Amino acid sequence: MIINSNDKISTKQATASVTAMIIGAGILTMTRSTGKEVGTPDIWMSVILGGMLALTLGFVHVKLSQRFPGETFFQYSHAICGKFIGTIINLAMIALFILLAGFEARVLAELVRSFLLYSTPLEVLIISFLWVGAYLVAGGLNPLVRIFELFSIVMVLILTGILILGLQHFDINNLRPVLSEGIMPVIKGVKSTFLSYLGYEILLFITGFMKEPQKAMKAMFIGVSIPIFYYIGIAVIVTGVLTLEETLTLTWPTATFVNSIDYPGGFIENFQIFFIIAWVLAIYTTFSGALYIASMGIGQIIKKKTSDFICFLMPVIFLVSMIPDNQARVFEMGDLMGNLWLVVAGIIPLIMLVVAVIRKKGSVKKANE
Amino acid sequence: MFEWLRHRSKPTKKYRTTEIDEEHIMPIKGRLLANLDIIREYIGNSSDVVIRLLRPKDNEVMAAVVYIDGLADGQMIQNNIIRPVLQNFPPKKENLNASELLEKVKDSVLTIRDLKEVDTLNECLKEALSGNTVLLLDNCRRALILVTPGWKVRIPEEPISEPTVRGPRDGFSENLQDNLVTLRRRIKDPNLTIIKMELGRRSKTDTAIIFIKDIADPKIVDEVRDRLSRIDADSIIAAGHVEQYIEDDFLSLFPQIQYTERPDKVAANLMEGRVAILVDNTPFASIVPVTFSMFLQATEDNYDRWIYTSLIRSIRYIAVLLSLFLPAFYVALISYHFGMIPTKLAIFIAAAREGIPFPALIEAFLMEFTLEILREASLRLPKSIGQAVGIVGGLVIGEAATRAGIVSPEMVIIVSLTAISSFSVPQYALGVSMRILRFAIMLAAGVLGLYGVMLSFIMITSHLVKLKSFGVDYMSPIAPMQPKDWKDYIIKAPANMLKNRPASINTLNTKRENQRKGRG
Repeated sequence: MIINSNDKISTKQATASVTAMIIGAGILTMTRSTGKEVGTPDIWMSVILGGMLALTLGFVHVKLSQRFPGETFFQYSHAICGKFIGTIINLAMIALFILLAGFEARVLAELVRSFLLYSTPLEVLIISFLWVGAYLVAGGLNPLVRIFELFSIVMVLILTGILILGLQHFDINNLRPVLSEGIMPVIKGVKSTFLSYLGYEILLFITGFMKEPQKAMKAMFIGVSIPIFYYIGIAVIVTGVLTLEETLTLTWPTATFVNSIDYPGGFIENFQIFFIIAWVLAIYTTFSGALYIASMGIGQIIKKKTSDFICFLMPVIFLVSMIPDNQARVFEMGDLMGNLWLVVAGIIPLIMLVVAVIRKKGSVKKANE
Repeated sequence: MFEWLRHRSKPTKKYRTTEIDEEHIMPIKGRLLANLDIIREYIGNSSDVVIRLLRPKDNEVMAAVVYIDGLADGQMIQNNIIRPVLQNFPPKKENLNASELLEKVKDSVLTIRDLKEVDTLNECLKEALSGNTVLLLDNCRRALILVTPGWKVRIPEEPISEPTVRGPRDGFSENLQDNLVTLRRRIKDPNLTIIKMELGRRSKTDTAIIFIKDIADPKIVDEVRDRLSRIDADSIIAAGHVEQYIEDDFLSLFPQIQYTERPDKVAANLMEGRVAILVDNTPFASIVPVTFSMFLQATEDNYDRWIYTSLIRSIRYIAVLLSLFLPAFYVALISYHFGMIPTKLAIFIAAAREGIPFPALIEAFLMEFTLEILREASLRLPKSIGQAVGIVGGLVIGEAATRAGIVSPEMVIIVSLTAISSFSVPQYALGVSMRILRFAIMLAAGVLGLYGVMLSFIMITSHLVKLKSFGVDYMSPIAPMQPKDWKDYIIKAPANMLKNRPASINTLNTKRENQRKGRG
């Protein structure tokens, strides 16, 4: 077989991977979950702060990865923390990604049940989705990042479309008063917006495969900034169109907002169904990315080929996705996951970077380039 | 998955310069009659094998010619071989030994254009079977192969499968040599390289790999040569046969090799750095590597003006989407998401479907299936009867089925729109894969509604993104993204903007235009 030079990931693809991983199920419910924490129409400020947090953590991740060129997180965690603690961290990481994959699959199934197929069992929806994801992931990293590249453009186009069309009912008064209760509620909301930013960690794992790893920082900044931009847009417009009070009562505020738009021509009714169908793409990218990283992690711990573990992971992810027994529990699980994530993918890499710098592990020269 | 199915036979020999019996090489013996006996043993049973013993008048040395009647040109053999040998043979008094005699005959007796010397009977047999004539001398351990092919050839006519409005009217014929000539006439570049191979242990089919030396990626050429030489089959009857052996993924529904009847198309593809494979006796050239977009580009796209071509191409892409997803979409809307249809239309559809006994999925399957049968039936029938099938089909599908209340008129519209869309795909091979996929997507829509349609879309995209054709990504230039190539993808930029060859294929020389300094 011929091996092409483009089997390594380009900077553009890395950027698209970050964007595609971040944009997922979160955007559908972000306004409600953050709105509950904040309690004022200043949701968008929390979104910005959450984005800043994601950028900072992303910065740490890239710095860390660049010290170990050609290696993934699962490999260099041993070098930094030693075999035992490294393995524990790796397992925690894998568990988180399994959790993320299960969560995404479940949210999708709930979404489909709410809008498309009212009586199809969740199991059928989830299993069919798992199979489609596993098919892609079995092909390895390259097809995956290509799908990221392709679908991230579709997502960005859809989001741009609904943001522009949504302006017609936009009422700036719904966003007022600004900071009526001070800055504290905004900061309280950051934690819950953070859930929507999950996925930027993919750079911990793919920097090693990049053609130009020194550009990983650029990929991270652009890749995270695109979702920040659209999240702010969605937060502003959804609260501006639906008002905060209504948003809090809706399960899927973004979908409801999409339905409120008058489409030119108006041939198709119930336009939100189209949005939801298109959003399967967004959830699919996040899901398959998480599945890939989890299987890669297990593969690298046991030192076997990555694709062999997909079949093993599928039932695990399925069981995880079936843990919550109703829709409210699903979102509780999401909040819990956000907290765990902050620890495992936020604080631990930071500590690891500090340790790596102190113990002078990895190539410092590469990192400074 | 399926690794065990993908096992290919290991490479054996690079070239098969072959023999009737591969291990057993038979040198030419001293005695002429012994040689003729061996030849008779192998091919003498056939009535068209001619073995003619010659006794020149001034010499006692015996000679023999062996050829196949009909394959070799009889007139030519009589005038340029048999007559000179009988009349002008070196006389006995010159006292030449056997090999000198052969030299003499070769240099000054035969009036034949092209010949060569061989020293095994295996080669003699092979050449005789290829339409050449073997000249054997007594006591001589070498033989002369005289090139005398002379079978009847079909005159190249306009390609039936790929008609054009503006393009050249000639197509390939069954003769490999003629096909190579048409290509040479189009590309007078000394770098146009032709490598010949023989495929098939028994059929010994001549196969040519054609590429332009300083454009095509040597890696791709080597890969093609390697895969061809790995074919270990008894016989290669046609190019389609070769394609099945060398394609990348035989489990895929999508064609990974493009075939064409048009020399101009092959020439254009060679210029983009691709490699063509021509098999003797097949009026089709196979082109590798291919990308998905190639199947949606017609030859004529290069001859028409760019605005028109861009429009037509985008229509083709829409047609592909329609022919894949339209029936499934309709089924999903009718059976799960009736609320999505605008109210006025929904009332109409509901009224029309009132008496229909089947659910939408069954209805769609029924109609699509009928259509497939009709298509298959009219394909194999002679043209005059084919039209009758069309009329019957049109009546059955269009009128009777609706009147009888088996299908709704909306379904007729959907099915015919789908059929028309699938006809607008310029390459038949892609149309076939779309037909199969359409049924799968319809099934998914029947089970999971629009969600199923979306999942199948994702599945197909994932598959296409994984697929490669001879190391080139099938979905390029959109995955991986290569915006440089978008000028000649869904739209086609004006000709003077297409200065580079496609970047999705590695080429040694990327510039198409403006290579000379001081121009433009």
